Amino acid sequence: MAVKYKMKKTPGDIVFTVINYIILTAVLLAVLYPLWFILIASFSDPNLVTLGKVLFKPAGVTLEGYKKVFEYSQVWTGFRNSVIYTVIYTFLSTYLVLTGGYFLVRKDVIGNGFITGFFMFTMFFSGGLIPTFLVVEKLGMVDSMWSVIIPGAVSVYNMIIARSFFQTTIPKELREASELDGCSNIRFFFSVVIPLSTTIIAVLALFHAVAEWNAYFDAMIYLKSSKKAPLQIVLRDILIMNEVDSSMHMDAASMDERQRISDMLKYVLIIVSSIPMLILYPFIQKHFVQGVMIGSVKG
Amino acid sequence: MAKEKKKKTRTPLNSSELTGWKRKRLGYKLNFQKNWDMYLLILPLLIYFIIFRYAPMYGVQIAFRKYRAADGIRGSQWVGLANFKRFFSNYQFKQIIRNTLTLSFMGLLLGFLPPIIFALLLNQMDNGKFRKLVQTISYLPHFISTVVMVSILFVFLSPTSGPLNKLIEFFGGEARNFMGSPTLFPWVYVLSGIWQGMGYSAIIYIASLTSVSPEYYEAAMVDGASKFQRMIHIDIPFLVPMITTMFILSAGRIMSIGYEKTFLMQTPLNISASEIISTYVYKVGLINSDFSYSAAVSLFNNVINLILILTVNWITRRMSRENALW
Amino acid sequence: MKKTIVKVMASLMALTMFAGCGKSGDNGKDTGGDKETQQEEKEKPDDKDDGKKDGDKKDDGEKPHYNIMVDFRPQHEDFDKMPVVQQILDDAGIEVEWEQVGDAAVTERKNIAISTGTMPDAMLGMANTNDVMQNYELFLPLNEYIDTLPNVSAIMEENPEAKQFLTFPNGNIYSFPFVQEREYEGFPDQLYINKTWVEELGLEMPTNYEEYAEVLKAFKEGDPNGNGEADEIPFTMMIDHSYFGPYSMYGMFGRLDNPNRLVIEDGKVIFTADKEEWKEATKWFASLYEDDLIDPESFTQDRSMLFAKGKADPMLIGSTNAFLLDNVVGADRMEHYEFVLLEGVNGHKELRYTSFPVQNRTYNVVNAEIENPEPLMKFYDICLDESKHYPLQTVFGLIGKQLVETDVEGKEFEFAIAPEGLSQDDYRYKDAPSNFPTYLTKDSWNSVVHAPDVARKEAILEDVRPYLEKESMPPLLFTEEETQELSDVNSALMDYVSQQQALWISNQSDIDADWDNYIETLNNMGLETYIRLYQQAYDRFYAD
Repeated sequence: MAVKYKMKKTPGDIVFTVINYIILTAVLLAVLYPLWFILIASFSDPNLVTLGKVLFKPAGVTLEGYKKVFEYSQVWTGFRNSVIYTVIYTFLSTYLVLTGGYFLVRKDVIGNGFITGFFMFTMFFSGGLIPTFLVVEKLGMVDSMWSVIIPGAVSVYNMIIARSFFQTTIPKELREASELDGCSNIRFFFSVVIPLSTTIIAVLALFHAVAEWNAYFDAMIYLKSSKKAPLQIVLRDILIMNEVDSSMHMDAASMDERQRISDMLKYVLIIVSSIPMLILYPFIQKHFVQGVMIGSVKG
Repeated sequence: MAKEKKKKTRTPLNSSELTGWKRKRLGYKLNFQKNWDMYLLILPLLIYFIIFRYAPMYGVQIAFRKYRAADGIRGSQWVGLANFKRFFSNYQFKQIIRNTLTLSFMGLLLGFLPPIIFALLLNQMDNGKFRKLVQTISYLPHFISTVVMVSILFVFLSPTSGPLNKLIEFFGGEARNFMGSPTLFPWVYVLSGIWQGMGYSAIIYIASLTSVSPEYYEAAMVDGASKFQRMIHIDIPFLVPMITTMFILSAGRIMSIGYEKTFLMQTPLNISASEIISTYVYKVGLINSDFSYSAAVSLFNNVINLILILTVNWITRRMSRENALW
Repeated sequence: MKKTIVKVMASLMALTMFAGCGKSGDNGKDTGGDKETQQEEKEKPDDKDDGKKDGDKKDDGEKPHYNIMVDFRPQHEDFDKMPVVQQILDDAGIEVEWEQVGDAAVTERKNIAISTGTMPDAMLGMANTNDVMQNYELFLPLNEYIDTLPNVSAIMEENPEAKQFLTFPNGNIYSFPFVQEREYEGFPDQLYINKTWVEELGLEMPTNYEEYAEVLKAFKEGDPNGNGEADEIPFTMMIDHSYFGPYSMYGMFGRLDNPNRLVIEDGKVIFTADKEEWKEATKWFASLYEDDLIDPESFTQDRSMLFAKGKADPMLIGSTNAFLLDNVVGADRMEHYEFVLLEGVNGHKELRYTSFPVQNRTYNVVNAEIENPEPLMKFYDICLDESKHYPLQTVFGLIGKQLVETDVEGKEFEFAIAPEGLSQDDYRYKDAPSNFPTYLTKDSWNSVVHAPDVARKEAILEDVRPYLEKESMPPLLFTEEETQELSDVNSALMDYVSQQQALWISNQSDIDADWDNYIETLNNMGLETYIRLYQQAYDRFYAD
């Protein structure tokens, strides 16, 4: 990366770059606008939003939705719980998936085919909710934080992605060379494979963090005490609390109020729950923007 | 222990005297001696899979039983294929399968390439700040919940007040009822899915591209290759293994389109295109707590998916052994 | 860069030690978790732990102790802190450990509790009829206790229909009454017209369906909201919603319609959507649509969108159906709208109505394995004690807090104004457990001053009483086999009818051309089975 090549840009390159800018800008706008819409909708009168009157700037500005969310004291415990669960889950899952991915790529190890099948079979067949619950219960994990971390800790899908990655980044020759040096597989994994795989580690960490951050089903099934509830459960509660309950009518005014708030909350909750992931992204992203440096090489 | 026993029973042999079977066995032994620590490495994984994935798997049998909570899984009456027959003989069966396949094949056909192209273009973008911005923004829609996603669709596509129809009318077209048309439904479903998922799906390709060694580019530049040529001749071949993997994996998900988004997008006018397996199971099985029936339908789905993934993998294997999953 | 790699590596290494060095690390954690869960398990009615549980009971003093799982709304105060709950518990002399399950998780947690044998002593507001009918032996039949319970037996004697409603096909009762006799709940949809617009345009309020169409036309053309744009929506609806749909309006053509497309005539279950009357009604709606008088979003909009239109500025809606119009247009606009009862073909006037109260037959099921059920039965009985206003309080909140005494003549209580920052509903839920056994009689409901929208609706109900549907579909109970058979035909039929109805009204397809094929398809889909199952259940309901 040290040498900087000064290359003249060919006319073709310029055309390519211009087209590239146009396409990416189009993508940017196509994605940005709905995001902008959600942002302004979270500040606007929900009736105007529904009627299509809020398109470019907020109308009937109100902070009611945000107030409703942060008034609810559980939000903060939920937030704390989610952070804890996400951090532990991310480390554990990423580690496990990396080991599995590396095993899958080692077709020379006997039993590789069998174990690949052993893992992949579970992508298609599962025992279902009730037997899984019984296992988790027997292990005494119900209502403990491990119940939202361990049962869903390994994704075969991500393991296969890791495998494909290793396939291109860890050349066979490298291993053969280290074998001659008498390096054990485990040592090779930790001292060669892992350091060469920051990119895939970053990607997997991101995937796992996002998955755990957004997860609610396991928490709903296994966690009984509300003190342990993650943010997503708390947010769902807030949404339900403000949903219109058609079976009991008290008075129209409160029904009205409720419908308004519940419409607004839909947008507010997205903002509240995705901001942490937005903050996280650049930290992880920098591990796979190596391409930018290559870009500078290209001059 | 087992090892020692083997040692005792076997006298030292000249390798040339070994029969094929024995040579194989010795090969295994050597392989194990060399790689035993690989099993140690994945020991936690094996334990995990046995406990959390395989131990509960006896639950699959409820698809073949008439499940009653009071009898438990093993105590419920065995009904063989009755639950499957019930599904196949249903009046809507053909339509549901057709709709499910339409949605998933369209999703695969239209949705598979955009993340790849997006990643390739992003990779060729020299402007680092712009590149990062596009990448970050495009990843965000992934966080929009389905409920909100669908309500945005209703607002944006409203035939009377929706901005998209306003735009169509502005250019002289006629407003269309996007959410009330069986022919438009798959398009709305798939395109909104691409919008929401493209940036997130591209991450894996973007990450793969970072491992292209700069020397390749340098060499190509010395040869006078244009940017476009570098993309075609360096980036794409480099991505092929990952693309293949992702394609095989998608083939294994054909039948499993989640119910939530489709269910929320259903209206009386598009129901003929929007009733798919998962929404049907939700309506028929889960609302009536008919666990056996739901289990049978999802087992059917998974068997199809398994067959698909095996087939695609088999084809891949014939073309390039390296890129196949196994 | 390198440093972070090292850090990540170090932490991963640490993790391997943890995970890699066998299960000892994990086990350590697990036993930590174990202690917590074991404590809870002791309180759970796990049959294996029965011995322990008994021990617990004695430690806690003399009071019998139960675990009850309850559907918990986020705005509820903890049940331990609800004064009404505490009063009833004290009266009954029992202690309860509440397992409060958030609304969103109720279905899953209930299914798991039933399926894994971890059901607590009782469940409030969670089980449904399928759960009970598929697993009779898991639930305690309550029949034999009824005679020992003064309030329950009094209710059963005075209201044989309540008892009939609670009785399952096997002759047992699994849950005590949860009944609210609030008549207006059975009156789902009323047609309203924008009176202000009618006056603005110098018209008369329509009295029949032809005049009504004229008025809608005038709304479309006359710019009654005066903004110079033809943005008025003469008529809007949600095509398959029980409150906001066109079901009562179909009555103008000779037969009412219902979301399940069934009505009762002379004790016979009649399918509506294959009859000439239904066809004529659909054609009439199609003619309105043709003239741009029906909101094209009537087939796709959700409640939020309908409500937003109702509150848009300037006014947009000329006419619509609603359960409580206040919800659609907002209380401050109610003066602009008026209820109309239109005369249909041959002077036909009829409105949907069901005389059956809001009720539930599985709200308080009890685990069949419960020990010493009598004190719990007493608790349920006390919930139904009118003399202490418990039925009212468990639904609407505490007397002296949410319910206060009133000066209004003939009334005893009124709803207190909610404190700043709380909606009326949130305030009520705070102190009302809302799914305890209750029998809210007409009299006790009428002893409370009703909110203005409800009062307005009740007044309309009195006015139109002669035109209410005479026979209504009772709350039927299907056997397990019937439920399965029904679910096979039900969703296909209902979806198909709704789809065709929407296509025909929106003129995307011609009803006359399609009709024969439509009837044939309905028959192929199992229409006959559908009607037969309902008739069967209906006959069973009135068997005695």
